[in-house]
Amino acid sequence: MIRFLVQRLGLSVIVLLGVSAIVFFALFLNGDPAALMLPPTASRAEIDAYRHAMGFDDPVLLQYFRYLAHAVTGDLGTSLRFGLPVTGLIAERLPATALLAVTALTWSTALGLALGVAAAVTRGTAWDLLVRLVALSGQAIPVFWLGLLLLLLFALRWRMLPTGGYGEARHLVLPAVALGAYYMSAVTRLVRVSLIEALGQDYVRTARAKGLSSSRVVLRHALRNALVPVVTVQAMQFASLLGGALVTEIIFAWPGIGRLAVQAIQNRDFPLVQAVVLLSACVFVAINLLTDIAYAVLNPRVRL
Amino acid sequence: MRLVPSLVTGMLAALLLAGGARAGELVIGRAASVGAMDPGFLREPATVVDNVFDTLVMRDAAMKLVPGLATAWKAIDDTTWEFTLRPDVTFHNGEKFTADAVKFSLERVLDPAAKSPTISYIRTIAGVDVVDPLTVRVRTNGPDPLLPTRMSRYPAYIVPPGYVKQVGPEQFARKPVGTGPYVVGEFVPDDHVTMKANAAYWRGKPAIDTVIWRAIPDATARVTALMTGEVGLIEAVPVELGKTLDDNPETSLLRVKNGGLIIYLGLKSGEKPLDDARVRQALSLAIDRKTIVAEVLRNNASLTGTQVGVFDFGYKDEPVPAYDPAKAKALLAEAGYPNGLSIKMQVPRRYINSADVGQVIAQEFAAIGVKAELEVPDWPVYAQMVPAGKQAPIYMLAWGSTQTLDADAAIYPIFRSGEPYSTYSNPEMDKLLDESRRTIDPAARAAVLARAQDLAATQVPALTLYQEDTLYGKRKSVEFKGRADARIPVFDIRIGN
Amino acid sequence: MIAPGRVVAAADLLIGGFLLATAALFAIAGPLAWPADPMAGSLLATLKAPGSAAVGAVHPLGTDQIGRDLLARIVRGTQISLAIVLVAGVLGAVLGTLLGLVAGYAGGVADAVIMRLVDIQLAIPFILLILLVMAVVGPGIVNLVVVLGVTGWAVYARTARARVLELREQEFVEAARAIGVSLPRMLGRHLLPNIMAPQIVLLTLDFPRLIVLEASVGFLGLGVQPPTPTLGNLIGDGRAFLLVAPWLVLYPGLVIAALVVGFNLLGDGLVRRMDARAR
Repeated sequence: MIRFLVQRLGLSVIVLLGVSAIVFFALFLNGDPAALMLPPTASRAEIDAYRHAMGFDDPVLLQYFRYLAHAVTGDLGTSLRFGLPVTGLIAERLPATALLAVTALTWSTALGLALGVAAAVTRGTAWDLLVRLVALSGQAIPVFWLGLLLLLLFALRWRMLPTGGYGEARHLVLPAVALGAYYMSAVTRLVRVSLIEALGQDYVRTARAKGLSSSRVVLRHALRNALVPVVTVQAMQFASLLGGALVTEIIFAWPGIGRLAVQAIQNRDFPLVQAVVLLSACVFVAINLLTDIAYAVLNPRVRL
Repeated sequence: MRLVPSLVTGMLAALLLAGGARAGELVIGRAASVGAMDPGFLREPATVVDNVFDTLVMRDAAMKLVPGLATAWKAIDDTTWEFTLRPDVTFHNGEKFTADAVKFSLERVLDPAAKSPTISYIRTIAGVDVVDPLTVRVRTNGPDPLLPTRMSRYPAYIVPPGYVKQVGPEQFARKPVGTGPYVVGEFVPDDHVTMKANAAYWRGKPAIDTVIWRAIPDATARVTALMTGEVGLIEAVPVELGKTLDDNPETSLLRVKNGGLIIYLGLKSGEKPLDDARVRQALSLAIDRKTIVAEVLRNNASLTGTQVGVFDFGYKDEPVPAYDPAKAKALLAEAGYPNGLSIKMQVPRRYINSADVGQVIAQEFAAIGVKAELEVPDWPVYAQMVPAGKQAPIYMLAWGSTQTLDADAAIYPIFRSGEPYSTYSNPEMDKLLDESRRTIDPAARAAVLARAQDLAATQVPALTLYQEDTLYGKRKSVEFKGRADARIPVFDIRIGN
Repeated sequence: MIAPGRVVAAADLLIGGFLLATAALFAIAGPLAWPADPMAGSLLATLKAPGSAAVGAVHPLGTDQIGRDLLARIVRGTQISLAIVLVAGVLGAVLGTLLGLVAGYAGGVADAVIMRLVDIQLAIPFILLILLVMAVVGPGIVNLVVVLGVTGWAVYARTARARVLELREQEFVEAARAIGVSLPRMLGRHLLPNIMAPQIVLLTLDFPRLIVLEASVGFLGLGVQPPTPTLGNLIGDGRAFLLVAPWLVLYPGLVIAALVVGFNLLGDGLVRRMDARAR
């Protein structure tokens, strides 16, 4: 187990190094942050002085190693726009995104499980088809379109919920629904497929033959095995959630990391973009690691 | 790990916080968000910090210079201005406002090591001398008749030296302390700023107790928030929704005529084919400005024939450029392009419906045989392309003189050869613009500036399109008139019934 | 009795195929049936509601903020979005499959390097990486296709490699290796044909992701430049008019939904058929 962990950790470090390199060098393909950050009336000399002071004129490799060295100590740089350490800015936005992501994942997993089980046990019937259609449309609708639609109906037309903002439970409803719809569909489809597969397995047949009731078989035996891929996929989703959160946060003015990232990209706020990407990669890697362990625990057939 | 507890408390706080509109509270929805609030080092409009800090000189609603933290000012000689300071003013933290604060506030921006992004606005200052606690002198590098004006805007806000030294610039940008009508409370960068009335304000206690500045980047969401009453005042109303606001019994649209920038299409006149004045004139004649303003901007702009604003010193009322595609075609043929030409054009999504205006103009150019290949660049990239001269031969930009309300600021930077934002070079124009800077006598100076505008009208160094209005939306109960300088001084706002 | 699974698979293929065929017909034949100009309109007919007639023309889906016919723009947008997604998808599939083949067959260092690259690629959220690169290299169709394609390779590499690892142990591969078949020949003639089918199914299931990605990038304004429409651009531009002209957002969204459902059903159907055959 320890060897397994050490090995996985080593791989994770390599991945993060790779991510940092990609992100760092991608940004240096063009762009002059110095000219960007100063007002239009700044003189050439002022721009040059600023660029030099910020270290934008050093060799790129040197800048990268300097960046890495600082990153190891937890210093991911200072935001060009805010003039504050990026780690602090991200930590400030993290609760908002975490709240949104956890809410979206929770309701989508719960509803997805229920719908998936329902569809699997009624496989081939009209009910199954209906669930699949709901699931399909959930996956078919881009999050920004669903977001706009929800905004139009619930906020603009019916004025039931606020258009955006942050701080109260009612602010959370629309973004969480928009963001979760896709994942709800994904869980539904996945649960349905893996449950159908599990129900066809020998041990389930045996259990049934032993006279266990249908619902017990489904819940105790089949679902447990079917959950393995669900956990894996949901874990992967959690990391990809940032992508969906990005658009959702823009539409609903949700002060999270997604909006921070888009603004940083638009402002060419290099250190901030780098930190957001690196952070999301860290989350992804960490969750993958945990998934591997969870996988092993849930499914004893996987040897460590 | 500090992160985990802060994460949990943050999420809890988000769930539990109660809100809603209370009496004496105004929520203002803005398109842009506030990133940092150090008024000497702003990288964004000063709309919000303007309510926290004061300047020595202020502008009243009619844009006239009036006493602020200075009760009087006068020029002692060609290069020295003396300001008499208001006594008994204190900062929010109790620190006393004196001449030392003025010296400190200006010098920390002028310090090259501090790298203030806005240093250029006060670059004419050579030094600041404290005469006594209530008298300060500002020396300039040369004669600068606009110095009192410069003292009326950022970065010339007065900050408390003791507090800034004590907490450092980073903390100061998060929790600024000024002499202004409002005291900063909670500040979440890019989300909202909450302010409380300063009961000890030198102009009297503000009528509104609490102001919350909320960032609502999406225009539709901003307008809806106003209609549902979540906010009381919004900036940047999209022109299509103006009528919606007016039709709603609880809201109204506030239009400040000539409150915005003057939009133009810059022309790289140093290279073919735009080096020929006839080509530039033809392009100008191809644009149906009247229909664009009516249909694309829904009449939220004023047609104008000059880059100088109506309120600017030196404004000359030039006729609005004509629309005459047939004449445009003839001019093109005369210039040697009987079969038209192809050219690149960049229009950022920055101004009111500007990307749409760009698409319409591209169609109108096509009608006279000019095939314009349109690009809609990201603003931050474009903003650095233009001063570097890397933009397309035809490029949309807006310029204004809100800094000084003087024609010089409106046309010198874009028509004087060699300036970063100028793509025009004409010795005659240069001569006039330079002469205006040397001329002290106002009447003579106005005459020179008028001649420069006449020259621009015939030579077409740029295609002047229109001047945008500034649009606000407000609840009917909010009494606010809007200002030509786009400020929102909450001190002057009242909430009725 | 016919197994319900088979019926579902057939229904999936049928419905999915129908949706896609309709969309393709819409994109290809649309301009012939509806010759309105998607790039130009009349300023006298801005934001007209669906079905209204203005300045001598009828607009079944209404007009946009500068008077262009929305139906014509959706047709053109569908063409362009589909083209982008198809080319980008194939680009990613080819790139990923080749790398996966090499990794699986060569093993050793090549395998380790390629698989680490896969991990790295998958660790960065697609949309963030794409936005970042688009912001750096600038918007435009070619850039978008390359970025969407190049960032999509990792999944294909993973599945191709897994399949090759299985195949490597099989007799026909061992035999080929024994008689000294060259590496390109081994990969191209022996291994590739055996992994083509699952890779194509994977591609089918990858299209929905690409469609939504392209639309998201367009929605955020970093994709193809106006006046050229794509499905995402149409929604992004129409968003400002949600309150006064919801049709600008509604109809392009429906087309996206139809495309995504179509590809998903088609992919699901193909997976089921393959599974049935394998059994």
